[in-house]
Amino acid sequence: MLSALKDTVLSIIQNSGFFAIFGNFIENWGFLVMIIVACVLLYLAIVKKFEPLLLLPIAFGMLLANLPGGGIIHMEYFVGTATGHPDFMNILYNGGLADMLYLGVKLGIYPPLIFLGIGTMTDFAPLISNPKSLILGAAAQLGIFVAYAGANGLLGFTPQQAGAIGIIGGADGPTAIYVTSILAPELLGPIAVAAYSYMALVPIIQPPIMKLLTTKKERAIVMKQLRPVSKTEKIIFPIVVTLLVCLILPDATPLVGMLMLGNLMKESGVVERINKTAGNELMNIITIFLGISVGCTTSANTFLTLQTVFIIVLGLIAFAVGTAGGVLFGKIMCWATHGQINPLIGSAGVSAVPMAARVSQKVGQEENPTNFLLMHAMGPNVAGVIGSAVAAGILINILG
Amino acid sequence: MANFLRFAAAAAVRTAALDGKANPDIGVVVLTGFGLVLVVLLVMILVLMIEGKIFSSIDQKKKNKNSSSSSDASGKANVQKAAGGAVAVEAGISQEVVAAIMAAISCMDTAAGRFEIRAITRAKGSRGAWNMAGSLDNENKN
Repeated sequence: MLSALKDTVLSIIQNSGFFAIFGNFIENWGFLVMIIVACVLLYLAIVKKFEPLLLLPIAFGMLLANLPGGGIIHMEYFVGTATGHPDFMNILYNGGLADMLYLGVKLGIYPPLIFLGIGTMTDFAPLISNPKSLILGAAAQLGIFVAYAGANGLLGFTPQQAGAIGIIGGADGPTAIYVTSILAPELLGPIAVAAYSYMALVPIIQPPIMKLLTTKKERAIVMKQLRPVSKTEKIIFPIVVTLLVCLILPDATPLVGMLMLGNLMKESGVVERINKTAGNELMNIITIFLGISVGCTTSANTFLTLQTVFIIVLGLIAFAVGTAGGVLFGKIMCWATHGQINPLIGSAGVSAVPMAARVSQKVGQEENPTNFLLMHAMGPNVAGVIGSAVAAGILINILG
Repeated sequence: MANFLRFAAAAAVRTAALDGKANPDIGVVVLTGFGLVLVVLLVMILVLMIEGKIFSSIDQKKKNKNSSSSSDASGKANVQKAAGGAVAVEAGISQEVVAAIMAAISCMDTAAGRFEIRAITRAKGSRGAWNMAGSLDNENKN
């Protein structure tokens, strides 16, 4: 009796996560490090409020994935399978909750649905009234291709991996996840964490670059008021953009199409119920699923590598170059229009809606407290969303 | 533009030739990638500018039409006012006061028949509200 009791207790101890970590610490120290990283991310989400809606579920997913023996996800069913496709039979018969949820990432379902929700919340009026701001949205995608060149040319990543790393420069989480799940699913964890971390750090990363590349006089430029946009124009816009972008770049259809569908639902005003659902309930549900499943991919075995360090550094470079590209094109436009455009709005072209536009507003007001750049910066900001989706389509087309 | 498209097409052929697009040249990806982003967004700018011009001209036409019709309408309205004897409000009386008077009168409509307000003017020679209150207070004391 006593012996059986002892065996049972011993078995429970030996199966515990504590035993797995501390019983073989030399091999499993990574789990402890990842638990600490997850706790730091949870701190940033809860206390510092850095993108909490996504960082919190991602960080908790990371915590769950690094509890030895938990088996929350089976990445072997998704990556490195014989057919190159997910092992659906194993997922259905042996998979758990996170395996099922991860299918939405792997099959590219969640990012377009998130874009649908974003579309219902985005006002494209500043872009429609000032179409030139699309140039700034394009210029800010420069970082994507610089990071691609660095990753592929200097650090030896495959072209597909380099493309997925470069897209961090688009500062658009769903786009980064979408491209990575297609081009380099093995890097999904580090890329998603890097993308969302840099998006959260926009107010810290961007201002020094913006100030470095502009003069005091340029930062103080007051821009002309935007022309009012009619409802008809707002309704036509998503249809025109969908036709134009998706016919030129069919690979961008899932992202751009869903973004524009959401926007059409908002602007048409005839489907208020589903518009509300897409922008609230559906978006919230998908955000939870996406966050948990991405977090679960960050197991110590795949996350704690030199590759991750490179990805974090390249992501920062991509982001910084994207910001610089936007500001420099802003300067060119300022010169071309004889000082009618404040170059600070160029930095908002990196997507990260609406945080990047708010940063333009804040830096502009530091020089001229009566200057209101927010609506002007929203033009390049929403152009950045379209621009990064276009860049994603191009990368998938060339490298996929 | 034509040169760029030729270059892009050549790059695409070269890329496809490399084992199902597996290992494209870095320069090709960077140039075609960034170039295409610019081209797509430039086409969008063009389309949006044309769309904006069309809508601006439609708005302008509507404005011109409205302004001519409103000037006609205002002329007619003046005549109607004069003919129908619309409410004449004395200068300096705020819209809030007019609204309050009209609301008070309309409350009386059902109880004691219908009323019509023809003019709102200040009572001449009347005391101010504070003077009136003071006099009433004095009268009550006496």
